Amino acid sequence: MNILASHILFLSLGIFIINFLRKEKFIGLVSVLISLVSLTYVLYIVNMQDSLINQKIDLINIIPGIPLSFSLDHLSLIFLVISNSLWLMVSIFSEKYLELNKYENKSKFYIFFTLSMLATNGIIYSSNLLTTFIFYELLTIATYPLVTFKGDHKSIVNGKKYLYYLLGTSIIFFLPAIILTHITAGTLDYKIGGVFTNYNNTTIYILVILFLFGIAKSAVMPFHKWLPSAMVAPTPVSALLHAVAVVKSGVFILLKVMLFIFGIDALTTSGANIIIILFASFTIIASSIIALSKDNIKLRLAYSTIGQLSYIVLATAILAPYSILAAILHLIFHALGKIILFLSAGIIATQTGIKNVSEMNNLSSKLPITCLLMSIGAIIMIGLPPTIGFISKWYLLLGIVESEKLYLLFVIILSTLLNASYYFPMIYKAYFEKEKFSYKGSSCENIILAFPVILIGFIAVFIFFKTDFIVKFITEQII
Amino acid sequence: MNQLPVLVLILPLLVAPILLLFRDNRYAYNMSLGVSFLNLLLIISLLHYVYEDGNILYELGSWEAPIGIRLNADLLSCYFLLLMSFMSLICLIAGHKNVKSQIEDDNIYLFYIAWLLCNVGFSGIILTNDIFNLFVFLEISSLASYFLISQGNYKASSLAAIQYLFIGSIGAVFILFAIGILYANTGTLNMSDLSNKIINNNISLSMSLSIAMFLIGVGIKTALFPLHGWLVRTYTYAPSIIVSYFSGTSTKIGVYILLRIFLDVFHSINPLEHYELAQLILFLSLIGVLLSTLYAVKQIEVKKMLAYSSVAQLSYIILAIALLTPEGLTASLVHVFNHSIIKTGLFLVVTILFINNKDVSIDDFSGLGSKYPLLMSAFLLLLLGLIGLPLTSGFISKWYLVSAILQSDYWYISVVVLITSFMTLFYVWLLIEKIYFSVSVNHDSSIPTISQSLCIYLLAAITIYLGIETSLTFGISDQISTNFFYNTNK
Repeated sequence: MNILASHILFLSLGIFIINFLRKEKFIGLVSVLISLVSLTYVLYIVNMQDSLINQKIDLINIIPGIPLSFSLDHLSLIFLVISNSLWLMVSIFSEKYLELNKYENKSKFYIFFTLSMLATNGIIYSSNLLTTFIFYELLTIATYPLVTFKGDHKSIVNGKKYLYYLLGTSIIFFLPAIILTHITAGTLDYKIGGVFTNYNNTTIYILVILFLFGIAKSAVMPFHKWLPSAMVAPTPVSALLHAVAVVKSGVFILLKVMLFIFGIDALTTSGANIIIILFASFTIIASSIIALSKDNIKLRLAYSTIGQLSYIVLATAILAPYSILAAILHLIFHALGKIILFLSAGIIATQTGIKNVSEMNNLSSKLPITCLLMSIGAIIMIGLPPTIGFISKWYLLLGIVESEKLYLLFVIILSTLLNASYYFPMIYKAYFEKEKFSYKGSSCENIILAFPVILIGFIAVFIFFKTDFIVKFITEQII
Repeated sequence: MNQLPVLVLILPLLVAPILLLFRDNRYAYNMSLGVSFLNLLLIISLLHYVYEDGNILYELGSWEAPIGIRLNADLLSCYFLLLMSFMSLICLIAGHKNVKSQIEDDNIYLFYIAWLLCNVGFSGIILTNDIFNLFVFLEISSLASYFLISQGNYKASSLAAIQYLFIGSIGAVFILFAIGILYANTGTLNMSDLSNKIINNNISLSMSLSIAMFLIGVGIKTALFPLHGWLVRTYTYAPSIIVSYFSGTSTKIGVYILLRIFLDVFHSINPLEHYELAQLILFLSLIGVLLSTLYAVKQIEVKKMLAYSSVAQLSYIILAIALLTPEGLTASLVHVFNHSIIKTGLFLVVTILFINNKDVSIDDFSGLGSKYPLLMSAFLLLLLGLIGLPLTSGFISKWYLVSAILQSDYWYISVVVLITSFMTLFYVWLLIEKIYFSVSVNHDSSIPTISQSLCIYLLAAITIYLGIETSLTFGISDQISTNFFYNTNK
């Protein structure tokens, strides 16, 4: 049996196992085990990659000529490793987090968390747009119960917004984009160089707009509001799903659509990539300005995510080899940095009850490790050396110079300044400002809670010294 | 000669009077169930036969066609027959408890007899190849329907039945006039004969009048905007089991008549194109989709909400036909089947849970998610199907519908279709939120029996199945539309 299909099958089996054991106390451990097995699958796949790449496996024929089918390429491989290894970390974190925050109905959490990861892996494996769309919608549906997990009025209202934005854009823009692609190109398979053989520019323009708005999981403005809404969810959800799995799926699909559906040629000759560049640039600046005004830590991180996602979209849309390299690198690095930030925010909220930046005074004395990790994450986000964030930004700048769109330098510089001005106050407050009032609750580090974050922090630092390996992999295999 | 087509008609027609003699409620139910089941089996084998070997023409009493009455079982008829008989069987099983508690004891056996006669009427309309015969069967089904609708135990039920009677009769009169004019012009009532003779006949004024009258009559039957008012009232006040039954059958029969008359009988002059009726119908159904979706969003009464939703979905079906492309016809036929399954399932859940409620408000669904987890999961699946999410049959419908529109000359109306399809989410999510997030109120929902629940599970399972494996819906629909558009040997 095909390894990709069996991976997905295993995850569905995992959901049944969790459902079956839902009354047990060790349910969190089961979930950790499932994510561990999933990572093992991924490592095995990485090991076997040469025999798996570009092997298409058709499962069922949903629409004549367009089956539900899986395949693997090098780009998928990168995202696959990232999402599954971070899943393991987050599931270790969530076990303790849910316990400390006294959440009930843990099994529901784990069921839909696993389902979300199933959908993410499905998106990664899909070899045509229909399969992508199916898992894309599944991901929206699977994350909805997690966003509304608290069940109070606020989370229901926000959950509705989340759902309307994501399902609405996918129904109104994404689906017709896919159907139009099918009608014009006759196929929906991802193909290196694109699927359009003879096209007119109008169709390309319409399709670019439809895809850009339709894949709202990439949170390009104006359809970004769902992401701040999703922040009502418990922290592990915000961390893994709304900083990695969901949003990166959006960007990942957009990347694949630009490279393997339109193809670089069709986009550059028609000039349609300018549309994407404009929207992404606007999003980068606007979201940074909004982030400045947010005091709530998670909301500030959410708006930061919106901006960083548009970096990836922008870098791809520039379509220069260096910028595409930067896009893929940033996909990895942002995931690492942002998950550290979110998990730190979760630890801070759990241990001290602090949810706003303005309350973070002298936090480092209470949570030294967490604050250190948070600072690392923040510096990655700003893109300062010596962190991985700098590397992707460096290649992005090279790409901009290469493509001679020099006005974009201004966007990057301005947004870096803005990033710095909303991240540095967090670090400054935590380390240098005197505390105004004493905190409630225990103030020592919880080692189990901190362990996965420390691990991710190590990985982030480690990767900085191994970047040449990743760069080599990407330049040789993908570009 | 293959006897299957006539058996489908004769079986319920014979059993109905026998039940009248026995006057026994239990016996009546068991016999109706048996007959419906047998009918379903007959129709499946008929479909199989027709799919393999082509049309069956059955001369009643062996009288030759233009003089005698002929039954015509082609793929289109079998497709609709299958849908109708399946819906009838499911509703009989799931509705038994409701019938017992809603209908007066003395009337229960009459109720089942009317049900069977209604079935005969529907099958007759679908199978007959004689246009006057079609009118007769239409009347049979209508008369039975009036009785069935009037059995609701609300005050408004009789009123709803009378309204249905009036409006239905007006529709029928239009159709009768149209048939009369056709007969005067061509001298024949046999459909195949008609379609041959209309070629030679120049399109006269009277012929145009006939076409217009057909359109109005069929428009009433299919609840084409602005002729949809009766449907909402009927669906609100009729016994809910009848609503479940009719939502999957009655209006779809209207769609069948529309297809048969305009694409088959008038095949050679293609009136929809000739008089630019297609544009008119497109326009009307677009407004219908928009308005009824808006109304559905506003409703707090669930049956009304679903009724408006039905009007919207029917408008999609009509809209797809009016595109006048093979893709459009395929899309509409696929949606006929998928929508029937989904909507019947939804109405059945309402029927089963709220036997005694006159109005079922959205609030009545509060907290049912924890009370009936399995049943509500099935309900959820059906609702997701209504939105048209992937892996449900609704998605398949939407795919072909949007695809057909984008390939036609009217690609811009896809905007309206997509936006209304998104708006479906608004009213569906109201229900889902109530079911899963509201605290259970003190409601008097009745506990579903095993057989009732099984019916719902089956419909939900079919919704998923038809979202993955489409050879039944798409395969046959595609075949039918190919026959209509490219094949002249009819």
